[in-house]
Order: sequence, then C-alpha cells, then structure tokens
Amino acid sequence: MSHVTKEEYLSAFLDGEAGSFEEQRMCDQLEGDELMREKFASFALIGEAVRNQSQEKQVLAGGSFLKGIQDAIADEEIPEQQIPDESATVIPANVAKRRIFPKQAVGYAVAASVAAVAAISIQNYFSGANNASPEMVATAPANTAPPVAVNTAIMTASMSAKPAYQAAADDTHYGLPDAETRGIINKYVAHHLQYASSTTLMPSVRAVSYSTDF
Amino acid sequence: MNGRLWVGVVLVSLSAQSTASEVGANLLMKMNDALHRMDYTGTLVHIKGEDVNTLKVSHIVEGGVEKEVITSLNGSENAVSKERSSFSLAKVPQSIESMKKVYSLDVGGTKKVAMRDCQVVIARPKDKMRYLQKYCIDKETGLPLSYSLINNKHKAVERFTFTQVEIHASNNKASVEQTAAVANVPPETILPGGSPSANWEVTELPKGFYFGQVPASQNAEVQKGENTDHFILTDGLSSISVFISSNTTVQPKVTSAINSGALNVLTSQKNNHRITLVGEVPRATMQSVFQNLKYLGE
Repeated sequence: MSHVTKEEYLSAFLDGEAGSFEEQRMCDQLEGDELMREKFASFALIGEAVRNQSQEKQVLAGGSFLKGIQDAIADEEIPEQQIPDESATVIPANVAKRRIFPKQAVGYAVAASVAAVAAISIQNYFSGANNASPEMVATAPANTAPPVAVNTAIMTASMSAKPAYQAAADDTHYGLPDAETRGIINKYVAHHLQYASSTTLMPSVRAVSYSTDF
Repeated sequence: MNGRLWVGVVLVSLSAQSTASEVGANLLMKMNDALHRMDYTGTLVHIKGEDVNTLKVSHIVEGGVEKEVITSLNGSENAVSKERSSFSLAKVPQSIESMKKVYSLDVGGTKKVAMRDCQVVIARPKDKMRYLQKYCIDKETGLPLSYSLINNKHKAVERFTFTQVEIHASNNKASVEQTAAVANVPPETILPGGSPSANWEVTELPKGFYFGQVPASQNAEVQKGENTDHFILTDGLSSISVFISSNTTVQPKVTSAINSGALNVLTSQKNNHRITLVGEVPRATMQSVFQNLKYLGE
C-alpha cells in the first residue's frame, strides 16, 4: 500500500489532480495549519521558479511536480526573502499549461476559492475550537483520583488499554478502569449501542465485534 | 473584469457545493430507509485499528419487525440475534438541516464494493468535535456497502465493508409499509434543548449537538439495580450517551478512558457522582461535555 505524504497531496493540489474531496480537505487544512500554508506558498513559489527555468531547460519533463521541485531545488537556491504572502498564490507551470483561462485569472480563482472556503469555515472552526479544543479540555477534573494499575482480565481485547485515538496535547492522565468499573462500562456500552448509537447498520455489528474480541 | 471573474468563480463554487450537499443528504436519507426496509444477507468485514473481524449479517423484515442475525466468523460462536421493533436512535430519521450545520455533505465518485456499484458520500465535519464519515451507498438499493469513520489526522479509526452481499426488497408489502411507517415517525424523541435532568445541566453543548431522550422503558432498564440517569447527545450522525450514577453504588477508583475503533468511553466523577460517557466521537468532545456538565443539586 502506498503512503502518500502531505507534500504529495500539496503537489497534487497544485497540479489540479487532487479531486474535489481532496481539494476541499486541503483547503480546510490550509486554513488551520500555518506550517502547511508556508509549504504551500513555498511549493507555489518553487513551481514558478521551475516554470521560469523550464523555459530555458525542461526541468519537469516527464516527471511529477514534486520530482521537478526536488530537481529544481538541487539546481537552484531559492532566496528566503522571496517567499510570498500566502494570498499571493503562484500557479506552477504544469498547471498553467492545462488551463483554458489566462494565467492571472487562474491565480485569482485559486486565491478566491481558498479565501471563500476559509471565510465560510473559519467561523465554524473557531466556534468549534471555542467549545473544546484538545488543549482547552485537557485539564483533569480536580476531584478525580490518580491512575492506578488494575486487573485487565475482564477487558476485551478491542477495548484497548492504550487509547488508539489520542487528542493532541492531551495531558490528562487516564487510567484503566478496574474490574468493577469495566463491568459497568460494558453494560453502558451495550446500552448505548442498542438504544443510543446513531449509526444505522453498525451498532449491532459493533456489539458482536466487541463480544468476540476476548 | 478580474473582480467579476473572482466573484463568479466563488458563486459557481458555492452553488456546486450546495447541490452536492443536497444530493448527499438525499442519499443518506435513502440509505437510512434501505437499511430498515430491505432484506439483505452478506459477509461484512469490520476493521478497527489492527483488529479485523469478519461477520455474517442477515436482515429480514417480517410483519413490520426487523430481524437481524449477526455472527462472527472469527472462530467464535458468538452471535447476536434480535428483533428491532423497539426504539433505537438509529431508526429515527435525523434532521438533515441540523446535521448540515456541522457537516458538509459531499458526493464523490462511484466505485465497486462487493461487486456492486456504489456512490461515495462524505459527511465532512466542520470542526474537530466529530469524525468524518464516509459511505459508499449501493446505487440500486441505497444500502451502505462500506462505511468508514476518519479522525482529524486523516486516519480511519473504524471501517465496515461488505465483501459479499445479496439484497432483496422485502416481499411482504404490509411489512414494507409498516417498516416505512416506523422509519418515518417524526423525531419526537429528540428534544431540541433543555436540561437532561433535574439535577444536572450541560452549560455549553458541543456545537451541533442537541439532547435526545431515552424512552422510559429503556431508561428503566439501565437504572435496574442502580440509581442511574441516562441521556443522549446527538448531532444527527454521531451520538454520546451520558450515564450519571450516585457514588453510593460503586465508587470509581480512577478517571479512565478506553477506546475501541470510533467508540470512546470516558469515566470520571463529579460532585460525588460517577459520570460515564460513551459515544462514537473523539475523546476531546467527551471531555468538553464532561467539563460543561454542572451539578444543580438535589
């Protein structure tokens, strides 16, 4: 199975090959990820540099955009002070070649799309973050007891002691439930899956899957 | 000139999003209906983390009552066989409009799952309080052939996929009508706001979540032998159960959290009560609910 890096997603995004879902996801990420915005701006700048260079020699011939960037970096040092503002998106050569609109219009369109998506979702993002970001909710309640080692005999294998999902910056110390607590939890889980789970087919499947994980 | 083009691109983009959202919402409604109306049998693979479980699934509608038999093929004789004539939040049509406030619905391409053509629909959360949900819905019948929950790090926390399935419309017309009637009952169990309990309130709900109420019969069941309150929070696609019991019953020794696929469980205590949260949402969302749970006193 291939592993696709963030850089490759960015490359595909700039290439216009990401597909609508990936494009939207990238926009969502760009909105909230400073580092990714910087990479995006860098890639776009490098793309422009490559495009200019490719007029003299075919740097990108036959290769992917990312490969082209890597080759270009090897050949030319990009001055840091030339990294543009994130809104000043530059369209790389191989994208521009496929566009039926003028280069400048495409640049504005990409910038407009990013700005529109950001404007629509940033309000939701911040309101959601205000409700509870991992950082905000990480503090343990004052009246909770410290974690202690407990017997794991009753716990199912699937109900892993080591949380598979760990919130970022989550410094709350969670222990393992003791045997008595586990018994109660199992009952509550069964009750939730039967009456409260909003997923459709899956509650029953989950129930069986859990019961077979001993 | 450039300004006009700018506005035009934005408008076209928004219009396309709106259309995709409507199509996605219709497909989800069709899926919800198909799950309760169709007869289907098949093999389903359930993947959570590194655990893979293969199950035989059978769903038949007889006389308006859904009968499910689910058997694990992983060397265990465990099986669940039940008739779903009673209340389940899964049977209540969720409010699409409420859901769209916190999810953007996208329609993707088509692909083949279990040798059948299906349409990809993605419910993409607008914040970090819920998982992304990805469905592949059978084009012919509306049944979900695959379903994934993906966290905000783009990692699939849980996945269900049919590897083989046979789907039939229920032969019994009366059954279909009765099932449709059950599936289309107004969501009277959903309370748009208010306090879940006389003694407790949630000062600030995670965005998009609202209270659901467990019917008295089921509530009585959970309280059997203990003084336990149970209330539900849902955003239309994800839900959280909150169980509150007095510490005079069983004293929790730790603040504990366990996880299985998309399901998280958090147990802690507050004001001499045990608080247990169970739901298919990220743990941070549960922490938020817990922190905003306020004891009003007897």
